[in-house]
Amino acid sequence: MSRLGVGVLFLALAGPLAAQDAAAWRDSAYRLSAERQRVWDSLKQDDAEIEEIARRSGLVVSASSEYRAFAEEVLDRFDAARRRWFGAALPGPAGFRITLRQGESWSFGRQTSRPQSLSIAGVPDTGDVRLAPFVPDANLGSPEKAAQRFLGEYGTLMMSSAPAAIRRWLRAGLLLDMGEDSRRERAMYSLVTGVGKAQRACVQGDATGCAHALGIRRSGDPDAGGEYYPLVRADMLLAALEQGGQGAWTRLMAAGGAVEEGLAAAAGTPADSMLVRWRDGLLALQPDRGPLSLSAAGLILGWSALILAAGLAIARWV
Amino acid sequence: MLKAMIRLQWKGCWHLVVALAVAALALPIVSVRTGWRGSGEQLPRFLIELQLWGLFYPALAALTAVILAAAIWASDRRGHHIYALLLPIPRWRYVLLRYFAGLVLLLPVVLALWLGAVIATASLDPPPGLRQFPHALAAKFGLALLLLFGLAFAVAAASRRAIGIGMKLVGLFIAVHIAVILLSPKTNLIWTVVTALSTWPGPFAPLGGRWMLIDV
Repeated sequence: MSRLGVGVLFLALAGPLAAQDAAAWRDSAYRLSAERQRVWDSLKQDDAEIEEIARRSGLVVSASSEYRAFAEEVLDRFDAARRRWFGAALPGPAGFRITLRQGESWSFGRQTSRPQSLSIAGVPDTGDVRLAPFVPDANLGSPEKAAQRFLGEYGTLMMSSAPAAIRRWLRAGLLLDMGEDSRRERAMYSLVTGVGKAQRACVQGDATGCAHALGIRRSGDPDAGGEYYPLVRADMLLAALEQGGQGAWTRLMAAGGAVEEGLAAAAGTPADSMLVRWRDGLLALQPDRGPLSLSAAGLILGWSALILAAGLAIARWV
Repeated sequence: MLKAMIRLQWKGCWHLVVALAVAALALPIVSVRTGWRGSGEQLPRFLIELQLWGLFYPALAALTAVILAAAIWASDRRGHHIYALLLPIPRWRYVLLRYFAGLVLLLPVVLALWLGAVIATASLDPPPGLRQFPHALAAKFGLALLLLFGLAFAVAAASRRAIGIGMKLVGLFIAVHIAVILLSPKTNLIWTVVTALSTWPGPFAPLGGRWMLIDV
């Protein structure tokens, strides 16, 4: 903005600002200052209470009082899950730190719980802090949930160092904070119900159709139809990383260039084999029968007869 | 005799049967109300929602079973079973008559759910990859109702003494569970029993699984 523009803006604001009561301005400033001090104090208090709980294969977990009991379990779960997709790779040479924070809670003007933190750092911890979204007045829940949130943040950190082509292709990130069952089920629904020509071909086992529907490789057919939505791409990338084992992430990073080559390098197989394996994995989740099976019907009839016999036996009113 | 019993029970419970049948008719229709709005991208979301709606089928079956079993035995309990004991038929036959008359009262609810499922699926034009299960879903609902009604019926028909013994056994089990938890925190007896009842060949195993009107 030019100097003239800034001047005009100040002149325009001068009228309404002058009309404000000075006492109201002073009160607002005091309130803001007090609020800032309160937030700062609570963060300082939180940092002072956090203490290291355990170290495991290059990772260290720290927690404040409320989360000390399950911090070690969170670390174990997080480490096992991250190794599954990223091996021993770290987001950067400087290490990382992810901190989940839970806000203090108040009831009837009285503080009922202090702010709590749970933090996982990759050694060396250089203080390159990444804060997860603040969770006001909410509990981090079980070790599973906390590990899931760490994994989500870790996935975002890892993706920030991934090749630009992969990041552009992925669109919505790795979605690791979503439960695996839920992600795979949604991906399976999307795969099976895709209506485009390429999507139907993919369900039938055509790798070229899968590649087009995933946005990896154009089929050249103008009628090929649309692509799967971003969650399916995330599922594909995670499947490739899982297929590739421990060195998959490193190979993906080294491949650079086109998405197809990157994914194939990560999976350690040709792109078509990787796509067919991914498709087979999702189709295996498809329910193999309708809501009712013959064996279930037989079991219900058998138990119903047994329960009726028991009912006859206990109906003795005198 | 069965006809007389059905008439008697219908007189006492018809308003409940009608209300439950309306709920059963509405459930499948409401569950597909949003549909996928003609967009393939909405399909996964629609199926996830339908899966959540599926939880209401066993819930409705349980509600129907408990309400009707309690209503069927309400008059007998009020009269301390004197009417049943005065009849010139054996006790077991009287209980069986009540049971079969109760099953007849369940029929309108099952038929309403089946009709609702057929109406709901008739209004949709599913894309390739989707299958519809109006008949299988209604059959599963009917069987679930049979099982849960049998259970609720047995409890409602039980004598005060039998219920008292049952309550004492449950209390004793909870006490043992607490003692075991204190001695060995990783052993959870209640969870073990729940798992045994809800996994094959437990009685509630068939009530789990998918309750999908439309599925992949």
